[in-house]
Formats: sequence, structure tokens, C-alpha cells
Amino acid sequence: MSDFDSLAQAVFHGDFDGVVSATKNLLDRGVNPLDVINKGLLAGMDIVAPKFKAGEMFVPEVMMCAKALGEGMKIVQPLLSSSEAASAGTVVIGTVAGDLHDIGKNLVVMILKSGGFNVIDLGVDVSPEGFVNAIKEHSPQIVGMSALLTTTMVNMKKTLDAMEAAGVRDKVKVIIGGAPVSQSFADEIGADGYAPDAMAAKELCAKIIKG
Amino acid sequence: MIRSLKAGFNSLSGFGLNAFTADELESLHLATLEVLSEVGIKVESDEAIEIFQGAGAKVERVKDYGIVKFPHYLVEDCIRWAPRNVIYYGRDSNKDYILEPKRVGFSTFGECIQVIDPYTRQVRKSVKSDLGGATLVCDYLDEIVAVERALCSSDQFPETQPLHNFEAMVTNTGKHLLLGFGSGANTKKIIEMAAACVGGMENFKKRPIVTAFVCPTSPLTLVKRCCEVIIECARLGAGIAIIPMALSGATSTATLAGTLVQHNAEVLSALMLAQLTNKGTPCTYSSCTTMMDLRFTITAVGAPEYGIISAGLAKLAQYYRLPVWVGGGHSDSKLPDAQAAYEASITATVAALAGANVIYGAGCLESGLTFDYAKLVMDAEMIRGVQQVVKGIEVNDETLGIDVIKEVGPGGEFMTHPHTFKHMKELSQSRLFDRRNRESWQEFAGGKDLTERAYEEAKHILENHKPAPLPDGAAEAMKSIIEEYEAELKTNHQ
Repeated sequence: MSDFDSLAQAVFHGDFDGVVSATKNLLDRGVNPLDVINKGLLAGMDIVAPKFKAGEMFVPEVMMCAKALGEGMKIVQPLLSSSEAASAGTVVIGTVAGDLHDIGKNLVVMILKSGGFNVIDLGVDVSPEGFVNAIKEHSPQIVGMSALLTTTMVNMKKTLDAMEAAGVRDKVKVIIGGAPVSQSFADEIGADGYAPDAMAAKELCAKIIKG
Repeated sequence: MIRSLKAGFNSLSGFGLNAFTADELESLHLATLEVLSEVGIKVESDEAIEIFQGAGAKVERVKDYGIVKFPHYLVEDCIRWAPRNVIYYGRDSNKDYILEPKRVGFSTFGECIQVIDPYTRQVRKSVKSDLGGATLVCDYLDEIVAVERALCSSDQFPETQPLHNFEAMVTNTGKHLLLGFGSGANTKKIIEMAAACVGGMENFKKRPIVTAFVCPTSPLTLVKRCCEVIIECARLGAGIAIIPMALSGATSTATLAGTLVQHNAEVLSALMLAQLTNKGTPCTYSSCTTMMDLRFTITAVGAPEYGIISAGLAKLAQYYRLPVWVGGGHSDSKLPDAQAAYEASITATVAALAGANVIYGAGCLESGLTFDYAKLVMDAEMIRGVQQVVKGIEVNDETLGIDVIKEVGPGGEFMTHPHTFKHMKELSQSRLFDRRNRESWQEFAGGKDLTERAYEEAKHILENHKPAPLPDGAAEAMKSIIEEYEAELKTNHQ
């Protein structure tokens, strides 16, 4: 097994100590930090993604992988030049007004972070103005909205309207998720995308950034 | 032969199951007291915090909420103040249902947002008329003892949806109704509407025809709107059904005992708020707690754990001598198929054997997102089967039939014996399920499978059943309450 493989395997197994030692080992031998990230750490998450999709992995295991990856990132990131450190993209995310549910949203945050995205988490019960202000402040490429309740789903549309009114709607791509939400609902309210789970959300964000 | 009476002969009335020993129940209770006194409940309503504080609870203020810690005596007192037996009064008094220990009944699941249209078979968003239809079928089915709001009126203004839900339901059944009220202001309006259907507020207080579902949020939180509804209901004389939905592995421990403890603490915190607001407020100990499937992050309501948790909580509620409403009969399947039937049967049977007063899940598919008429009608047949199981085996001289066995003797036949005529109709009969031989099935059922026959039955009920009519003027009164309220809200919004 190559050293990159053993790092990827450590991420896949959620092995914090293994990730730390494999990362240090590669860096000590003068391996390019970007390669450590792409061929080692992120490669580990690439093993996770299809297994999760196939229902072979439990979410807490995936979260453990993401945390393990984070341990490696902590070591590598200070070594990157500012241009190299540029994130995969900036995502502003929150649960819409009136809704206090955040398990799904938190999972998406974690998975996006593990995919190298800069994530600004606005939390729960975020008003339309809250989203608009965050767009102005952080200039994200993507805004993610979550809802669990049928009665708060409608606030996704209200938030989109508020973005339109504030003139920021065309500056971002808006994606939505949550148990009662669907692709057809996304189409209906004019959102740019929908993802049924956290892994799919990461893939969707990557696709949007690629353009 | 003379078979005289037996003195003090012990007999069991019906099948049941034992979930816990007395020691285990005590452990669950003590663990709950420890959680309530040491960890506390996050309460987001100032009014509720004041009520708790006034009764002796300790409050730690954090930003805009309080962590409320409850002394043991307060918990124990409030449990005793709650009524032992609760009656779910119907608009039609023949449909009243009494909840007391070990009586078993069934209802529909609520919260569905989609329906499989019985005519087009397409899945679509549910609207107010769908809720009316589902309620009408529930009114027809004797197996449904009280009607829970089966699906939502997504075509109505979200803020006042609960009022529309109530209107659609009360118009289509004489049975007791249960639904979420949404807010304190809505609570007043819904009770006003209910009063209009029973001839005024005095009558409503004597026979409240609606119970509010209130949902503590797991873990250990009472949000503002939940507190508002509890307080208003207690003041206005409506009962509450306290229904947390902890998800084992996500919002509670992955071990079921810990989930029971947390769920219990959540129920008791809401019960205390109701009792401290108005001693004697009817409280139904309720649950839709289950496990989260941590591979798919799906609330698994077809999982055996759903039935297991329901049975455990039914025993805990019986330990407190409180009426109990739990989940059972749901499915995670997307279609009214074999998976739906198996899942519904397992969870409903386990909950029934534990003696839960109401087991809800009839008609529900897709983890609680989709309502289906065929499933509701098939569930009714399943429920008849479960009730037959609950009846168990009666053992006495008449049922032992020793004299009959002697009379018929070896090689004889029982079909023409009077004992058979007397008792044969006590055995189960199929109505929708088919027990005929293949040829008769072809002839009488056209060779159709159960689901098809169930849709036909549902459509027949929808097209022909008539509920008990509302009293004169009630429909108009409800309509104007909703219209005035919506006009008021729209003015406030502008």
C-alpha cells in the first residue's frame, strides 16, 4: 500500500491517530502539501462516498471520517500558500425561518467542510433578511436552505423572494434540502438545485462550482 | 356431570406482554427524575418559566431561554394531579372512547404531506379535501377509535392551516379529534370553532371534542409555541396529548432504555406545565419515538424498534396510571405493498399486546410522509386480526367443552353440534383478506390482489358514507371564525 493509500485508509476508518501520523510522515518526507490533501485526505472521503450511497456505512461513521480528515487538514493547511489555500467554494447555509431542526443541515455542513468548502453556518430559524445579509457579507457562490416542516417549507420561497428584492438572487446558486423537500418543490419555487442527502449535497456543490 | 364453581380461580383476560419487571420500571423512573433534576429542560417561553419557578423548580437563565430543573416532589405531585382515565368525547356521544389501563384501540398517523390519489394512483401534495376524505373513511371504520389529523391542508395559508384542518375533520366525523394547534392564538380559535360544533363553550368544557397534540422537541426542549398551546389548552379546558419524537441514535441515545428515559422526561415536563397551569388537565402520554436509521438518516417507523419503544412506553405510562397513545402500524415503504403490511403488523401487534390505549399508524407510508387509502382500509382488517389476538383464549368449563368432546367422541364431527353453532362466530372472519379457494377467489374477487380490492373499498366508502351532520349554524360559524382571523392576520402582516 502506498503512503497516500494508508492515509486515505486512515481517513476511511475514522482513525484520528493514524491520520495524524500518516500526514506527518508524508510531510516529513517532503511530499507536496497539496498532494497530501488531494491524494491522501480527500481520497479517503472518496472511498467513503460510494459506500455511504450504497447504504454500507452509518452516518456516525461518515462523521468520524470527516473529523479524522479535519485532523489532517489542521496539520497541512498552515503549510499551504495563500493561493493554494483557496477553498473549493463558499457556501452559506441555514435552516429557514420558523424551523428549529438542524441534524440534516449540520451533517451537510460537516460533509461540505470535509470536501474543502468554506462553510458559513447561519444556524436555525434564519429569517429571509438573515440570508440576504449573509450573501452581502460573505459573497458565497452557493446558498443552502434546509427545512423539516411542511409549514416552514414555504419560507424557502419567501427567502428566494427576499433575495430577488435585495438584488442578490443572481449572485448565488440556491440549493435546498430537508425531509419534505423534493426536486419538484425546488423546481416549483425556482431554486437552482436539490439534494436528497449530505453526500449528494457535496456533489451538487462541486458541480455548481465547476459550472 | 356436575361441574361446580371454582373458588378464587385465577384467569387472564386476553393476551398481553411483559416488557419490564417492577425493578426495571423503577430504574426508568429514577433515571428520569435524575435527568429532570440534574440536567433539566430547556424552556423557551417566559410564561412557562414563571409557572415552573412559582411551583418550586430551579431556573438558570441563559440568553432568551431558561434551563429548568425540577425537584422530585414536583414531578411526583404533577403525575398524581393528571386524571387517571381520560375520555375522548365525540361530537356523536356514541363514539366516545375511554382510555384506561390496557384498553386497546387504533387511529391514523398524522403529519402526512402527500397522498396517493385513490383515483389516479399518483403521489401528490395533500390538500384540505384529502383530509376531509381520510377523516370520512375513519368515521366509517369501527377500528378507528379517534381521528388523528391524517394529512395536511397544504392548499391553505400556513399560519391558519390548523383551523382549516380542524374544519375539514369535524365536518367529516362524529369521533374525537386530535391535531396540532400550532400556536396559542390558534388554540383559542380552534376551541372557539369546536364550541360552535357542540352548542357553546359550556358544553365544550363538559365534553371537549378535540385534543391538542403538543410536541416537546428532543432532546429535552419545550419550544415557545409548544408551551403556549399547553398553557392555553389547560386554561380553556381542552386536553393535550404529549408526543415527543426522539430518534434513537440521533436525538437520543442509541440504546433504547436511554431513549425511554429521555422521552419520559420530555413528556413529564409538558405534563407538569399543564398541571401547574390548571390542575386536572387531561394529559395523554404519547409517543412517536423511534430509531433513526443511521445509514440513510431516515426516521424508521417500520422498524421493529418502533413497536418495541411503543410497548416500553405503554408500560411506563401504565406504571404512572396515565392514558397512553403510541405509534404502531406505520411503514417506511413507498407503496401499499408487502413491506408495508409486514412492518405495520409487527409494530401494531407489539404495541397492542402491551395494552396501549391508542396505537396510531393506520394509512401511513413512506416514514410518515404519505397517506394511502388502500393502506388505511387494509390496516383496518389487520387491526381486526390484532384485536382477535388480544382477546386471547378464554379458559372455563364452556370453552374447554369437555362434555362436547365426550359426546362427539373419536372419529365424530363437530360441525353439526349446537356448541359449534353457539361459538363459531367468535372465531375471526375475513372481510377484505381472501380465504377462499383459488376458483372462488377468481369468481368473487376477480382474481385481484388485496391492494386493488382495498382501493375499491375505500372509494366505495368515500362515495357513500355520510357522517353525523353538524348542528345548524356550526359550519357557518366556523367559516366566519376562519375568515375573520385570516383577515386580521393579513392586516397585521401588511
